[in-house]
Amino acid sequence: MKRALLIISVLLVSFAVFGQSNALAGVDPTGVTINYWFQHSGTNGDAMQKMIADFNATNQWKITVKGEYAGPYDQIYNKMVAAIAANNPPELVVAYQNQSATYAVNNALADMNVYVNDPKWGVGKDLSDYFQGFINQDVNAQFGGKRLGFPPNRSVEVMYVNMALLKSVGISAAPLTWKDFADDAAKVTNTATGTYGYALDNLDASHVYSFVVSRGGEIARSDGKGYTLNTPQMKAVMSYMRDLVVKGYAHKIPKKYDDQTDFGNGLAAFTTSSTSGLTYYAAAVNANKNGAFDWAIAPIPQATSTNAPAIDLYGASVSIPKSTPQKQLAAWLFVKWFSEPKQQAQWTHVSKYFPVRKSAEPLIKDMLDADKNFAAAWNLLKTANLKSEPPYAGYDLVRDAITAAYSKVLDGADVDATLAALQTQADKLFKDSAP
Amino acid sequence: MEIEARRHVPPRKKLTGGTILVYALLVVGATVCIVPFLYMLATSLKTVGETITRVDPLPWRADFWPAVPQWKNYLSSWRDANFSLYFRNSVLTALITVAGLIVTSSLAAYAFAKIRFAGSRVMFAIFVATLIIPDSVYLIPNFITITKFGWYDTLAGLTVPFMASAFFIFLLRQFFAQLPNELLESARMDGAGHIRSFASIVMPLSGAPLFTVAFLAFIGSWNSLQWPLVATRTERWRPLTVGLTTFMTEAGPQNQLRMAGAMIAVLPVVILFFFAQKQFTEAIARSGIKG
Repeated sequence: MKRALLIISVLLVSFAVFGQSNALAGVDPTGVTINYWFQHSGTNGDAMQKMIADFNATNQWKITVKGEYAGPYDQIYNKMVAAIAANNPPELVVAYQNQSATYAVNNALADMNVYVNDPKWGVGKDLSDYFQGFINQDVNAQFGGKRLGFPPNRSVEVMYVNMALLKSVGISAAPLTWKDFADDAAKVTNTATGTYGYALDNLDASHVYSFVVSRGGEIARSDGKGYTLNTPQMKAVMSYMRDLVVKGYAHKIPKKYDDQTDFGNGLAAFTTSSTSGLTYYAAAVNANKNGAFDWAIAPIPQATSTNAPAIDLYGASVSIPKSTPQKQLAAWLFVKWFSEPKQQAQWTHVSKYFPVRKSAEPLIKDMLDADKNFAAAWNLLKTANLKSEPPYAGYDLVRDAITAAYSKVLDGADVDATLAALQTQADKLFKDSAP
Repeated sequence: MEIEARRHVPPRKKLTGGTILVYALLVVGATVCIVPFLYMLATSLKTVGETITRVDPLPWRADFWPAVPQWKNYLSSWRDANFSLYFRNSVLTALITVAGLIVTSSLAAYAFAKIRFAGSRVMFAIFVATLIIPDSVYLIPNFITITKFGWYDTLAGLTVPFMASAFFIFLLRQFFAQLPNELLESARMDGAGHIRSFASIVMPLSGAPLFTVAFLAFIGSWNSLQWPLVATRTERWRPLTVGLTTFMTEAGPQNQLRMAGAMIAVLPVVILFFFAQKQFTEAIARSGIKG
């Protein structure tokens, strides 16, 4: 009897210890074909197809990846929702964290922890080479810590600064705090020349999120159980920005990307956007009628000056919809291959997105040497306190609610009442979208 | 002959204050309509930097136009977005959809207008009621249907789901109902059945509304984006609109290429409208539909 109990105990312990690692035991991805839906077009699309062709030609399992431009993010989302309903999704798809959460509500995604941690197929010791802020972004508390995606690249929210305009009023460096930001914005505002401080995009909730985390706040609970939108930090953001608008130090832009226009024409001293827009801001500055001016990128101002500014991490991940064990493994092997330093550097050279591996740095040294703004953003990435927007299902709708509330406040609505209503609305959306 | 021709020259109208006001309003209206088109043309000829910085909305100002026209944008747009293939696909998809739509809509409209059968009014009311259902609601059911039929990523998947339309049945039914019943009764006395009456009498008399249906259906098919993206996996049958989306990236739009592509895409519709505008307005007037 004792012997039998001992054997059972050993078996149970073995199962507990090795159970997860056995999930892929016996799975053979050889000869499998998978479809990959992505959003890359133009030069990026061509580069992605070339890299896929490289993978197809060189991988030892003879896996074939069929890459497909499936439209912009929102169209891919619609396509995925339809494909899940018809039980016809691809084996790999690009998805923002909240989109993958929506797919997961329908139990349509594989938990990528199984692949990342697998002793045979996983990333092993290389895990520490990934930026932890990047790979933690896809671990979703709303789904019990499942990893619903894996990052192929990333970008971050930064502040674009017209250094020439700042220098013209005696300011030598970009502001590091919100107090300095307001002071600088006041100094550059000149109704005669049309210059002003901040080109304010009130149409994108990511900016609001950036400002909240820069003040030490968050808009969601860390346990994945809801939103926190009616906070002192959120109130401070709303009141502060309205004050800038009322005083004429900030101008609301009429439509997305119009901040690039005022920045390129030398009218706005500051604007905030993703580093993925670096080439567009450079093009705008170079097209300035009076010639290109001195500009730079800097971290989003913070509540107090710090060496580790809190900044919003941008970028969609790739998710593996449930299919067969062979196809899921094949999809993971492509994802893993793509995240290797050589491929990451190759992709960064084309897309200007940041690599997800620290060891890719020597391979992009030429880019860092050639572009001081790209280098500044990369260095920021290494020291910053990286923050991620809530990966909740239904966050798209909450984003819309946040931008609506932001616009209302900027137009004069009461901050407290607006945020109270926003919290109520977000709570309902969270409940309605929960798994 | 010359005298005959002169007789038909209408007498010159006197320019009154009212006439001048009407002309002035028409000029303003025409300007409002044409400026977006000019903006599209001007943007299509700019550099990427100019699309961001030279954005004056008034065509008589220098910043509305590019410093140096970039004609190569048209070539880049055509090449980068695989427009030669997408153009062919758009034309084929639109023509096949229109042909199918004309057949189903005209037959159904004839039945509702000229054949008395049990429940016809209720059925027509149900048809018309479906007009209030948003297109997005059809997305998933249509996708499941074409997947089950094996039409995913095929021309059939892009065209068949749009070969029936409650709106066009309604539009044609309104017109057919106005045709005198005596015409059909005479034909029936001569031995013609419904199909013969439909083909020999109703259809020849309905050129203008049929042209309108064809025109609107063509535009609908030509401009559709969501369905072609959902219903296709490869480039094989994707239309021009999908090509245009490739110029929109996460970081920002390649507006010069988008606008060059849009110029190419809009040209067939403009040409079609140029030739069809008389029938179009006539049909709207006859069917009693007001905007």
